[in-house]
Amino acid sequence: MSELARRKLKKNARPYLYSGLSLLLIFLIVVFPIIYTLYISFTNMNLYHWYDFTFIGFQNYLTALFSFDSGFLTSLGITILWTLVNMVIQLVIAYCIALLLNSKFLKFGKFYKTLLMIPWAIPGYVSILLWKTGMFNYQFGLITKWFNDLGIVIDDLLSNSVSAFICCTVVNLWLALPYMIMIIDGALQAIDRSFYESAEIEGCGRLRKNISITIPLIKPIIGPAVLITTFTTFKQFDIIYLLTKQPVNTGANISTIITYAYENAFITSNYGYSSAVSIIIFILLVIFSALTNQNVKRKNSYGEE
Amino acid sequence: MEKNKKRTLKHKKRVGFAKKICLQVFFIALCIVTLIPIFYALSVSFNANNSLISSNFSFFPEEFTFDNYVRLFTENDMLLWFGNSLLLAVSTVVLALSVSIPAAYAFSRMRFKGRKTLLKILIILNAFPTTLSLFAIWALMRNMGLVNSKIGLILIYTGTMAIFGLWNLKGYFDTVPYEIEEAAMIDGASNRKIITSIVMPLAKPAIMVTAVMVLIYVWNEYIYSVTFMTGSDNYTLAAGLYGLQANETSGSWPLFAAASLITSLPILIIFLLVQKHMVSGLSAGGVKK
Amino acid sequence: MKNSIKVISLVGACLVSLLGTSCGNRKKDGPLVIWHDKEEGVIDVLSDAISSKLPDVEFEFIRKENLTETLKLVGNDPSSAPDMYIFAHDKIGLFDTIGILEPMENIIDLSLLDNYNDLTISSLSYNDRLLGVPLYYETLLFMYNKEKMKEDEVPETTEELYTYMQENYSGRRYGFVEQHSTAYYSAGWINGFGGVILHDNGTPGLNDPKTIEALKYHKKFIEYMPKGTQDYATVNTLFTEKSADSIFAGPWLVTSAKENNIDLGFAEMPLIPETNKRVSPFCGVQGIQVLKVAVEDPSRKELISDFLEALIDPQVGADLALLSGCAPANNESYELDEIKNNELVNAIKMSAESATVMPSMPEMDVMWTVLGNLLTEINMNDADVESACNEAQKEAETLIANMR
Repeated sequence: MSELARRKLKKNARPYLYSGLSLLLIFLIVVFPIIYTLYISFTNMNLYHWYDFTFIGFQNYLTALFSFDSGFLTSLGITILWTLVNMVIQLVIAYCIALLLNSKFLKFGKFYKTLLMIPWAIPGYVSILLWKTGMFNYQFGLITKWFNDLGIVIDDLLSNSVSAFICCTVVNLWLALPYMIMIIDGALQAIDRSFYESAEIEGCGRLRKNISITIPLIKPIIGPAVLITTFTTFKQFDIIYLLTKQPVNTGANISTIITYAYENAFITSNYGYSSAVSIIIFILLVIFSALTNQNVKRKNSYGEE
Repeated sequence: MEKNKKRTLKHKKRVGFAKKICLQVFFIALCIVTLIPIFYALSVSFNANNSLISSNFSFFPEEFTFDNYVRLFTENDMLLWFGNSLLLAVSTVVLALSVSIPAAYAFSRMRFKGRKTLLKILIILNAFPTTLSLFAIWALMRNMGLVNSKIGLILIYTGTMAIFGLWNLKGYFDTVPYEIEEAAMIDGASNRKIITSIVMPLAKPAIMVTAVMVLIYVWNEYIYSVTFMTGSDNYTLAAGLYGLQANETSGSWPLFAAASLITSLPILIIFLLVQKHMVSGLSAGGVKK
Repeated sequence: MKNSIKVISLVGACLVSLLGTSCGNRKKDGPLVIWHDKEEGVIDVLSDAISSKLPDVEFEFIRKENLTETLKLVGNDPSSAPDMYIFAHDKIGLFDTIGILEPMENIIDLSLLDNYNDLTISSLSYNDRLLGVPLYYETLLFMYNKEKMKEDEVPETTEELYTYMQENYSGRRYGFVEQHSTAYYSAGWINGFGGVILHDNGTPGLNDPKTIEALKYHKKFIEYMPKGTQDYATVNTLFTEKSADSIFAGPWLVTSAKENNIDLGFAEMPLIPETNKRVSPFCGVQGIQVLKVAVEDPSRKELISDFLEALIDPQVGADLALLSGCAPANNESYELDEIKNNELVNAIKMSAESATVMPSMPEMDVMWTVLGNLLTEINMNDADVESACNEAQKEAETLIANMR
């Protein structure tokens, strides 16, 4: 092998070497379970064939698609609404707070930032329980108490679908905002101040600076985090399930696609069938993200990617 | 002319002062609203009455007690759990960063076959509902002989956070101007040298964000650690916490509230300490396009 | 280049270990391992009993959260499964179906259990085989606050209870509360009415005329209970704060009631006039079960047999019951003074006489969810009982069909 060819090989192999370990771990921990689930989805693995399952082809998929009824479509609709509402509010609030945190007029910014991160530092299920019993509980929760003190009688917030949806949104925001603020704050730090200086010289207003400098500049940085959060929000299970279903049904009916799958597949302990449902949800979500991505691309004239 | 200028200056100062006050008020209010559930937990944990909910709840408990905190450390292995959490968290952060930084650098700076496709696939993997993954991961861990081993957990955690780490760092690396690296390369610096002495210092905020993110994930994760680790000696704080509430009939809420607060305290301290490093090398000046 | 070699060898190592199928059928060795999710006191009683009777046996009680889910994963893997576990009986059907439990007849002399309460033995049996040694059991009780509800006001029938609720209802005071829309707590009404949640052959009975009747009847009581979600904490706090005079609750409420200075009284479950049967809640039996992988080796089987027999002891049963606030499964325990004189234990025993064995079929997993949803629809969302029941029945049937 000539020196040149070797060097070329080395150069070509380099990116794979650099990313190899990371990709290997991702393969093992993230991709392998997907492949495994795909494999199980073609078998009859259930309580009666727990260790001795066999291939049954597409039967699980047929059962799943056949039993997708109006309930499934409703929950799909609720899931989309849930994702949309949560992501929009989350991004707007996080962006504003992050901007204000970076204001040159603000003193003790770091202190406030730390305080605002507290919700993130507590395990999610603990926070959900705290909100459920401390805030929303109809007999003893603080919210009922405050309304009562004002002389207003309210119903059980969690037993009505609309107000329960709002409650879930509040909890989700409470849990997710710290992370989003941190990501946007980090991105704001990355902007070269000189952009603003030249903009100021040109006499740009604040709004204009935001729209034409800050947002386009942080977009590629926060993009992946936002996308990942969107997926997480779409798949959100704990908040909705623990607030309205577990351990007691509250009467609200906000079933998202994952809670629907849980109640209609996962509780049966039929792993073959549940796996098929998981794969179907995965495919649906991929299609959705592809569609929205295209829309965003079309609307966004100066987006890079 | 001169007078006018002075007046606008004065005016500006006054506006600035008002802005300062408004901002302070805004953030104080925001923090209070955000922290209401936390105050609630605090108050429950200090309350001598042994119940979470009560119709005569007040933020300042009538009977104040440290008992729940004392019990945490005397009746439970809090310190041991803390040690386990710390070990897992630190190892995972180190491992995650050391695999993600070179990978992110490769995806950001090098052009190779499959780069764009890989990036897209990686992000789409997040769309998979992981409810059933436990089974596959258990099969994996068993075949690797890593059930009931901390190494197994560290690998699981690193793998779970690797996509985020890669993407988050890559996004940031993309904003670091390439010119400095080019100059260094001409000077004959190796890729490793460029990463450690140029890219990493410049991307410090992103690295910090990634590290904190990984840390918090590991700190709060309990499903894997509860399933794969056996025996309360191997519990992490989150797993121990999960055990404390376990079922609604036997758990003690005040104890649980105290444990939750204690669990989150180290994260907050770390966050406070790390903050000054989260200011970018970029915005600090030096690099201008 | 060095790096690349490292990486490649690592990948190789991982793949090899991945492909190397399960670590073989390694036999279990080392101390006996028992998983549990109980409080320390209960475990202390058990391990003291074993160490005093079998000083040479090495054993380890290990606390395991998410016990059932983990057992599903590791059940037949000798290297990570325990030898035994302690859990409520309602999961034995599931574990027997996936085939990881060893029947007791192969391990111990069943005549040792002749003096055990029938309810506990039939609870721990599945497909006519006993799958565990019962330790203690619990059931819901009718508890009342003696300060508020006088002895002669304690309702003998559900109609009397209803009248009492009407008479003592005001914005902040309730005659009686229960978790009316939770399957476990409401099952007593259905059972007492002669309705069925899950038939013995694994088919749901939600559209059974008696079940429908029971739910219709039960609904009228909800009107005099507090509005809103009735979860565990809410209902029990209402009782411990003296806003509610009586309650259906488990023995676990006793401690917090006493802490709140409630003058606690226990009574039999009220009689339902229509059927002349008492409200019949489910009974839960805690038992110790043995895994198949643990008894493959005859000498280990011997050990486990000794271990179990050491626990069949009236004194152990009594200590466990007193610590956990439940009733001993061993009838001989009731001859001991500390049990004879314990009001709570006797109340549980009394209540258990009218209780129903909680089905342990895996199909029950589906029923808990479906029945919970059905109760919510009827009690909180004012759904028509009959059509809601028919719908729930259909849903349960589909889900159960999907289990296979």
